[in-house]
Amino acid sequence: MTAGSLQRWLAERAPIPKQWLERPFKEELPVHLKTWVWAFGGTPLLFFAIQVVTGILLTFYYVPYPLHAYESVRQITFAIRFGWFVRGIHQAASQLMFVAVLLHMIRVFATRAFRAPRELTWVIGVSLFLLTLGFAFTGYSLVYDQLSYWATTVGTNMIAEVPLVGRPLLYLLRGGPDVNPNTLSRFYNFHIGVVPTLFVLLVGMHILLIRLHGVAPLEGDPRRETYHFFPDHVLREISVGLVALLAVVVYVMLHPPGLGERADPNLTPPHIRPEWYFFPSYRWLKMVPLQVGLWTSVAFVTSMFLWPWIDAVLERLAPGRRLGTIVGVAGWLFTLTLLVWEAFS
Amino acid sequence: MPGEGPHGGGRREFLANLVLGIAGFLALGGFASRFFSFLYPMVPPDQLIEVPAASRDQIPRNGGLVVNLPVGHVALVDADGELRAFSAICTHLGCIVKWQPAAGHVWYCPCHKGTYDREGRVVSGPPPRPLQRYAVAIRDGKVYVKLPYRPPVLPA
Amino acid sequence: MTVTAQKYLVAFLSLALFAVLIAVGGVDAQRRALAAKARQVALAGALNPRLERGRMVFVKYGCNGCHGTSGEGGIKNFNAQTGGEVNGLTRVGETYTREELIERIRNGVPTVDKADPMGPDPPLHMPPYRDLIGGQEMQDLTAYLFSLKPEAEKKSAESW
Repeated sequence: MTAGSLQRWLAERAPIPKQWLERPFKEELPVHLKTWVWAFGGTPLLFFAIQVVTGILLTFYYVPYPLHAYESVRQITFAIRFGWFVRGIHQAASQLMFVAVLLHMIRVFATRAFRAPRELTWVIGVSLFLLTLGFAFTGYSLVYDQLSYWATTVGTNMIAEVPLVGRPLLYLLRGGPDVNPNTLSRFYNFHIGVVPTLFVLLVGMHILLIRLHGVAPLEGDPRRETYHFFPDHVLREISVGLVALLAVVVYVMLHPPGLGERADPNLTPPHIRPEWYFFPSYRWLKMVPLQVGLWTSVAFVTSMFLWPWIDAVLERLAPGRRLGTIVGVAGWLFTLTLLVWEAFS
Repeated sequence: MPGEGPHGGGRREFLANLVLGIAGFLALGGFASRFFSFLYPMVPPDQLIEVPAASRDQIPRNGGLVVNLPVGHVALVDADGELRAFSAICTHLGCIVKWQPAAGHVWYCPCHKGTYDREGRVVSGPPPRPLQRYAVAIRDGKVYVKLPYRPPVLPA
Repeated sequence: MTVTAQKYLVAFLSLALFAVLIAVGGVDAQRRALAAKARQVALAGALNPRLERGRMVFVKYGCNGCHGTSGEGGIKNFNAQTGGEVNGLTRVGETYTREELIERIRNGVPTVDKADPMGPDPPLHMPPYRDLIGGQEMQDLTAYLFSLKPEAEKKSAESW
């Protein structure tokens, strides 16, 4: 039995066309991808993979029923071998995944890679961003300590304010009018079932579209040279991934996760705040009336989805003036200002 | 780089691949080992404890009964005045035996019809070993049994 | 960077990761030992030998099997009026006098009140311990039970 005969045996039973297998290895990429900034596309995927692995490990011990949830998290954090390690990585990587997705979005925005015919890729990307926020929100609710419980209660209460569909939507989310054992089950299911499935489907479509379109050309870059996807770019991506992994592991060793007091539905703690990535909307909602805040937030997210077309319109209005970039940067800066303001208040 | 083929020259490349392979294997192994330890349950050692199982007068001469305690399942039998204690867990596949005296046996396992005599020995059926024997003491009319207590995995 | 150099970079980073993972092993053992000790101090009243004796009685008679390792409850008892679970014991100090608690333990709870009267009988009930626990053991046990406090009133016992 030789390697050749094994190959033939496999090729007969799984007749994948040779080109499909060879294409990734033979592909050439434009050299503007060589800077480390472009590696941010792969990093969210890497962090997602880390979350899946550590997340699955955590499900071996986590129990999604109110009395047991806190206890099981406590056991994981303080008693189970390397429990603090697995949980710590899961927490740290979730923050870094959000940052990586954001940086990737900013890079795509700055290089205007969303322009026709790549609008659909962008729309899917924004959906992935929102799903990442969904992961963060549902995941945080599972710890069931005081901060977790009350942040979830407050966060979901806002949904009731949406006219017409708000209340039924809230009941659906919570499995009832108030936060109850059903709520935890549902959030758990969203976190490990619904959102990951949607995420994987959308990531698949996102990558497929990128493969089909090819890498977007960089505006104003005259270089036409290319370099190899394999092994050059692959090794580059792996290096970035390993640096990120090292950073996470060392961080978790130095700052292992802790645990607050068990959730008490009868006692709201004095300082309730959502996680830092929700600071911009949190601050905004404190500044304006609830309905105004709600609708402006909806408008903001909608504009994110429609950005390729908004940018195209702005480009037509003032050709060459990069109006789209100016408006977009203003939006980013405004969001950042709200975030920093909330962080330091 | 100009002049360099896509797969480099022979021995230098082989060495780089070897080093890469070993390093990658070690890193993966490191994670695999930690995650395996994480998953593998932390089983505490059994503790031998002595617990009161019943009152002496609950077991008449040549009678018997099965007691289900929170810490274990005990099969008690009086053999012509001598009190004996056994584990009530069938050695076949772990069901709890019943006191069912008949010709030749006293304990009966409903799962696969195994039977034991009052010495704990297997009389008929699939059980491979006799019932585990426990030391028994009688004090103040109470029956104390010394049995191996398996603490819950990972006490809170 | 040449491909060969990149390979060595990846190898170097992998080895660094491996080294950190070795260190994690030692750190893990140390941290868990620390946390276990902190929890024992908070729960078992190890400073008070009488409470420690009471805790031994609690475990000896298997009370932990139904009431939780430290009397926190949580073990399912379907259709029981106590929230479908065996009740915790963290408030006995507020609910019973010593004599009442002793009587309760001696008599047990032969039939547990049902949450839904049309529903099934709860499978778990408390047996009478009058033949099993008495004298010094009963005194130590009740002292231990009175020392139990609800979780929310305790600060998180663990610290690194």
